[in-house]
Amino acid sequence: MLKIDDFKNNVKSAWCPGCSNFGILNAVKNSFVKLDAKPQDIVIVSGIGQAPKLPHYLNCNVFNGLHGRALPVATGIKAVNPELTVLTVCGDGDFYGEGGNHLLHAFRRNPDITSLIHNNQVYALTKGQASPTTDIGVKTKLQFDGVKEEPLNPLALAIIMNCSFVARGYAGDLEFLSEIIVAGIQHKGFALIDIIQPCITFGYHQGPWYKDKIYHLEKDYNPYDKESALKKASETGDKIPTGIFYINKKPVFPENESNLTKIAKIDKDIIYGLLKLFE
Amino acid sequence: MAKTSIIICGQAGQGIQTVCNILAKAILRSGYYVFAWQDFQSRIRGGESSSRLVLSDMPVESLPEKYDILVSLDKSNTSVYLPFLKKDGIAVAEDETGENILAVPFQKTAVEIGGNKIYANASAIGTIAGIINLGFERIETVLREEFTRKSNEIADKNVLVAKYSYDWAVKNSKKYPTETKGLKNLNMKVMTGNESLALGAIAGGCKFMSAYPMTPSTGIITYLSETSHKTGILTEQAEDEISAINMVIGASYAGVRSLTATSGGGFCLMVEGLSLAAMTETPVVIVLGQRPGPATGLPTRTEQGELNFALNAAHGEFPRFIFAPSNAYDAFNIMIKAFEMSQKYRVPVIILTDQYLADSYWTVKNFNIDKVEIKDYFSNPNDIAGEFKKYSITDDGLSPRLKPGESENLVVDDSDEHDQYGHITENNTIRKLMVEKRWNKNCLMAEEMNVSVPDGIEDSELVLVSWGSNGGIVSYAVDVLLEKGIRAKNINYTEIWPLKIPKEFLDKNRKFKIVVIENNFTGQFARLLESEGVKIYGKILKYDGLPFTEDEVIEEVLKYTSVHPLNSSFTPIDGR
Ligand SMILES: Cc1ncc(C[n+]2csc(CCOP(=O)(O)OP(=O)(O)O)c2C)c(N)n1
Repeated sequence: MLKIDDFKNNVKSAWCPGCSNFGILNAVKNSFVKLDAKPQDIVIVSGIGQAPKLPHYLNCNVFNGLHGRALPVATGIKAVNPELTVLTVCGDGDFYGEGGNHLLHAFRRNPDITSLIHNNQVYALTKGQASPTTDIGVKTKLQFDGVKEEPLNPLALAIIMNCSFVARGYAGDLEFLSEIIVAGIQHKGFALIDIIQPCITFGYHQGPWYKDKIYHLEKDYNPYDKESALKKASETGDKIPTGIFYINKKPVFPENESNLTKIAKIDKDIIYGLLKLFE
Repeated sequence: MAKTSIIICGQAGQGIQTVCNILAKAILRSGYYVFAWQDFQSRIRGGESSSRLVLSDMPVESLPEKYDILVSLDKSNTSVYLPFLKKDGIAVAEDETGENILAVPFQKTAVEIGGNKIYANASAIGTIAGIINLGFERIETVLREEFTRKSNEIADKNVLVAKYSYDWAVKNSKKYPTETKGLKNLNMKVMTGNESLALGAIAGGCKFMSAYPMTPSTGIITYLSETSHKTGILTEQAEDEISAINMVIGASYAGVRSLTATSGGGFCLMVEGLSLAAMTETPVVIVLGQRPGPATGLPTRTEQGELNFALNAAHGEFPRFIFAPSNAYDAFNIMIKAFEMSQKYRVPVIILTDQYLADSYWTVKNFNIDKVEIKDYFSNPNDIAGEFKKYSITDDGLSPRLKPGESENLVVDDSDEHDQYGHITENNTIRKLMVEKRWNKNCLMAEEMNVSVPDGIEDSELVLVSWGSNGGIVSYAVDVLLEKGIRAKNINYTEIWPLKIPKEFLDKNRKFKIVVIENNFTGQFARLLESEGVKIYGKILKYDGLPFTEDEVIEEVLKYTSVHPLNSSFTPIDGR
């Protein structure tokens, strides 16, 4: 049985002291321990931003790629080696903004990848601009008159698109978040886990603001019912539901899940056979 | 020399490509070399398109200016393509008569014999085969091979219509002067450049391809998808080119040889990924099928305008390989080399093609598959002492490489500058060392490059330098020039970057003049040579979207020779 420490490394963190990302980092380690996953079997792919630095602070395989491009890289990895447990870790700007197109197509393609999105409703690394999930009216140095665009509702979008697994967690709710991540990884198919992550530097809502608003979806909540999932995903205001909103089992990409890293070459006879057809 | 050129024209959607494909195969089986180029518009139906086919008892990879036979499937096209006919050539057209025009009722035959006008192209196939005296049995076999896949009935009807038209042509056409009797079995193949690249990828150990469709390179993923049940190669149509290259990088990181293909516009989108591959030292092979730009340009036409782009694409400084196969035979071997080089040095490899290479049917000799050596460039996890340093600093810039999940060693990659373990760093000393590590590979990479320099180059009057798909055209031109007594040689570059310069080019006392021939406006390859100190005498450039013809090249080259009547008043183009 592995312990939390097995997933620790000694890379120095570049996060602000007290950042809620540390909570998510701990939840991720926790979930790996619960899954008894070995570091060597996990690959975390990330984009660019503060959140995507997370895999560097973990003892596992890492591919820290480009802003918005974690999903295609992760899709390529999982497609050729289905034995690996593949996650992406991104910010809301990274995943819903720059990477938006890839998200739309991950819903359709359904690779077996678990995506954690640190949703702080702000671009943190570039110092406080609005993100696709920032609320209307929020003023930033760049949006000095306040944000005018409708914020994206990633959960509703995912459910409408029949995303295979849709959940919301909260960075300050470590145990529950770990459970959701475990379920997301265990689920076969594309799992979107949006995580409320209050940014202590640029966020317009801090931890205490969420305290009484966050609640767990009811025990008898049925995640297989699309209609109620949509209703829950549309809840705003004083109550913010967390938990697994929607589960939809569907075919996974790729259909034929063979580990291509183990086949070194292609049989020469096959090539000769193909070449014959050109004579 | 027996050489017959045929131009088949009609509207898009009339099955001209099928005519071309079937004739090409039947001609090859008759013991002739064949070359065919497709000329089409960016539309699905209507308009003007043609297939231009040359059969010869000598290897052929180029097109003439004028054709022996014109076959027009559609009235509106006849007048457009008649200027391509030789004075003594024969034209075959639907319902049209005139000097040298033989009216052939393609449509009527199709309906009366086959019961549907869709068989008009089978009628054209039969007619052409009849005129050039190609044995009908070969046509029948190829037709059956092609159409039995659809249904026996369709195959039968195609054969019936073709046979009727064949007999009709034999009876009604004044026999074409070249008797196309079967020669010896050439034991060759006929395929497009794209098919050859795809086959090269299979032979080169490729296991994953992701791409977004874009002319002229879509054929590669199409072929790999069609054959994937046999090869086990996984192909995926990505949502865009950004995704395509990132998926390929992911698959490659996981340990699998991976490929993508696009054209200039798509390559624009891939550029950030190219940079990512370079920074993470992930091998990727990218086929860049050039087409006339900028922007969407002439989508279905040909050009060599993307050399500078391939050389300079992406931010930051890093080494890369650039190859440009000259024909379908080369394409296969270059694809294999591209995979090997990319794996060995962990750098991106760009293969430049164009529509002329990608869509033409080429006669290809047998690939030597038994000789293909696919090396495993991964390290043995047991040889790794201590914590695995994917980016360990070495003199030649090469560090060990492992697959994630294969051992307890963790594989860490980063698009940010990173330390030897792959973790983000902003340490300036490490940054400097990493820049040097990445660049140091270039010395070894340069040694891998080949340029074939013809014997006796020092004694020539003219050296014609071309690159990529112009190889066959220029080499034909040189043969003709030699016959005219002009001491010309040619060098066709297929391995472009890192650039290798023949020592004769830099010899101060060299007697020959160098003329560069390329399909672009600014003479990109010429400039590249010039930047390395090679004095260029002139450039022959074409940028109307069409490939060079043999006659065009010969005529232009003659201006640079002592025998040309205009020579005294002629000043070579010296760059634009
Ligand atoms: C192509 C590209 N565009 C822009 C940037 C600059 N950039 C870095 S991080 C970032 C946004 C980060 O915000 P988010 O994804 O919400 O993550 P956070 O930092 O809040 O965790 C941007 C715009 C970049 N690195 N690459």
